[in-house]
Amino acid sequence: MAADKPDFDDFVAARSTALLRTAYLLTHDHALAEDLLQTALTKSWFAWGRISGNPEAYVRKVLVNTFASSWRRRWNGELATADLPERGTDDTVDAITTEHDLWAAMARLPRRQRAVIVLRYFEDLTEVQTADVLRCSVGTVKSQASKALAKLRIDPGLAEHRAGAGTGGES
Amino acid sequence: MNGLDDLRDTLDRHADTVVDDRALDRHTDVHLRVQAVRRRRRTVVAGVAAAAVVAAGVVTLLPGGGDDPPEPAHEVVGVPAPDELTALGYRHTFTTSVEGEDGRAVVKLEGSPKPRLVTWATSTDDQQARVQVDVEPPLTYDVPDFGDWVEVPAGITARVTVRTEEGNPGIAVYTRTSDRPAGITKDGVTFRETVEGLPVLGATIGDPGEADVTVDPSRYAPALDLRFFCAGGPEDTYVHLALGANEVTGGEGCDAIVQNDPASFDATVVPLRPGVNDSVRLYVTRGPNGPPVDDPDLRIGLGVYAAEERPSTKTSTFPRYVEEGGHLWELSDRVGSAPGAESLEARVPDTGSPVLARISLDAAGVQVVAVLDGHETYYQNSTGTRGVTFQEIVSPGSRVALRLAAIVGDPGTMGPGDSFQLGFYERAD
Repeated sequence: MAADKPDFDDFVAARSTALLRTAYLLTHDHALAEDLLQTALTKSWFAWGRISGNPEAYVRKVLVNTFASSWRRRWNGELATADLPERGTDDTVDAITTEHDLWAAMARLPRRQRAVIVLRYFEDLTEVQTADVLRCSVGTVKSQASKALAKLRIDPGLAEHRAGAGTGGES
Repeated sequence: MNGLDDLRDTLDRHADTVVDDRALDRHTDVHLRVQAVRRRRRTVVAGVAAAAVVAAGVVTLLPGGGDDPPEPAHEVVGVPAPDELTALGYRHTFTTSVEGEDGRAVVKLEGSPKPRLVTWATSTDDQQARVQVDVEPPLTYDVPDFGDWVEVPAGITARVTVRTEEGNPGIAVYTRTSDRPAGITKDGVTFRETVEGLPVLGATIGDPGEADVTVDPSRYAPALDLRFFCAGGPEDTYVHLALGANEVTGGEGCDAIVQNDPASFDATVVPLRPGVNDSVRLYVTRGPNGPPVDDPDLRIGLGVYAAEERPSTKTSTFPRYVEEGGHLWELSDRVGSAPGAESLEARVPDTGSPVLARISLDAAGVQVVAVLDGHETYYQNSTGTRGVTFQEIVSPGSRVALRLAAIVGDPGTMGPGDSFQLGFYERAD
C-alpha cells in the first residue's frame, strides 16, 4: 500500500458521506444509495492495494459505473428507460414545485444520462473528466448531456412552470 | 426547467437531505459484503503448484452470552411458528413476526451483530410464495409453512418481501444465539465438526500473538480440505500453508477482524499420496520470506477436514455437498457444454424449493453472460486456469443459460478442451 493512501476503513469513515450524496442523486432513494455505495466500496476493497492516486476518484468511478452499467450482477435496483413515461395527471402537477418537478424529471432519465447530469452539474466535472469516469468518449458525454437536458426541458412534469422562463444553455 | 442554475440548485438541495447515520459503521457492512463475495468466488486449489491468495473472510467475533430470552410461541397468519430454527448447526430463536395484507408481507431488518433467518407461512393450503430480498430477483418456493428461510448475514440491512397468489403470507424472524455449534471452539471461534458434509480431522486456534500452529489429522483422507483464518497482523503479513516440510500454498491476506466461523470460507484442497502422514502447518511471516510475525494482536487458526475425492487439476469438481444461504445442499444433477462450445443452456430441476446452481467456467480468461431465471448476470474467469466456480440460488423449473460474450474488452476464447459446467444442488438439511 502506498504511504500516502489512507487505510481503507479510515477512508470509508472520512469520505463515504460525500460519496453517499452522489449515490443518492443517482438513485433518488436513500436505501438504494446506501446499497450502491456499499457495493462500490466492496468492489474497491478488492482493488485497494492496486489503486494509485486519489482513491476517492477511483471509488466514485466504480460507484457511477456500477449505477450506469446494465450488466451489473449485484446491484440492479433500477430499470432505466430510454422513453419518456406517460404524462402525469395535471392536478398533481399543479400541487408541486418546479424544483420538485425537476427532481422527479431527473428520475425519469435513463441511468447513463442521469450519471452525466450528476457528474457535470453536481460534481462539477469537466466533459473530459466525466468521460474518464464513465469510460466513454467526450463526444458521448456531450451527446448524453444534450439528450438529458433536452428531455428535462420537455418533460411533461415541468410544462406548467416553463412559461416565461428561459431554458438556459450549457455553460 | 429554467436553466442550469435550477438544475444545480436542485441537485445541491437534494444532496443536502442526505443524513449519513452509518458513516462510522459502514466499514463493518463493507467487510461483511467482502466476506460474502469471497464465498461466491470459490476456487478449487489443487496441488502444491497452486499459489492462490489465501485470505480469510471477515466477521465480527460474537460476544459470549447476553442473548435475549426467546419470545413465547407465536401464531403467524394462524400458523404456529416454531420457537427456534437451526441452520448449519447454529441455533436461532424467534424474534418477531409480521402479518401480511393483500397477498404481501414485508419486513425490513436493520443491521444486527447477529445473523437472522427470515421464514414464512401462508394462510391457505396453497403454499406457493415468491420471496425477494432487497432488489435481488425473487425466488419461487412451494414448501411447508416455516419450512425454508433466507439468511440475512450480520451487519446487513435487508428488506424481505413475501408474496402469495391466494390468502396472505406471514413472516417470522429468528436471530442466531451465541451458542456455538458442535466442533472445536476457542475464544468464540469454531471449526464446526462437519462443514459441507466433510468431517473435521483436527483443528487449532492459536493464542493471541501466536504465529505458527500445527494440526495432526486424526486420519488421512484421499485429500485434505484446509480452512483457516488470519486476523490482526501487520499489512505485510504473508500466510503459509505447509504439509510437513512442503509449502502447499501461500499469499497475502490477513484480515482486520476475526471471524467466528472460519470453515465457512474458501478451502484449499490438498491431494495426498498414499502413505503420507505429515502434520499440517499454518504460519505467518513478514512478507513471503521474512521473519515470523511478532504482533500481540495477531490471531490465526487452522481446521483440517477430510475430502474423499482428489480434486482435478484440469477442471472444476462438483463436491457432493456445499453450503450457501444457511443451508446444506447436495448435488443432484450436472450438465456440461460440448468441448469448445460457447454456450450452455439447462433447465433447473423442478423440486418445489429453490435450487443452488453451481456454475463452473472451465476455460481461462473468459467473460460470460448468464441468464438465470430470466435475470441477466455476468461472470468472469480472470485467472489463467480453468475451474472458477460461482454459486447462485435459482427458482425450481427455471432456465439457466450461459454464453461467451464481451462485457469489457475481449471476451476470451473457448479452446478445444474448454467447457461450461453446471451442477444443480437440492437442499439436504
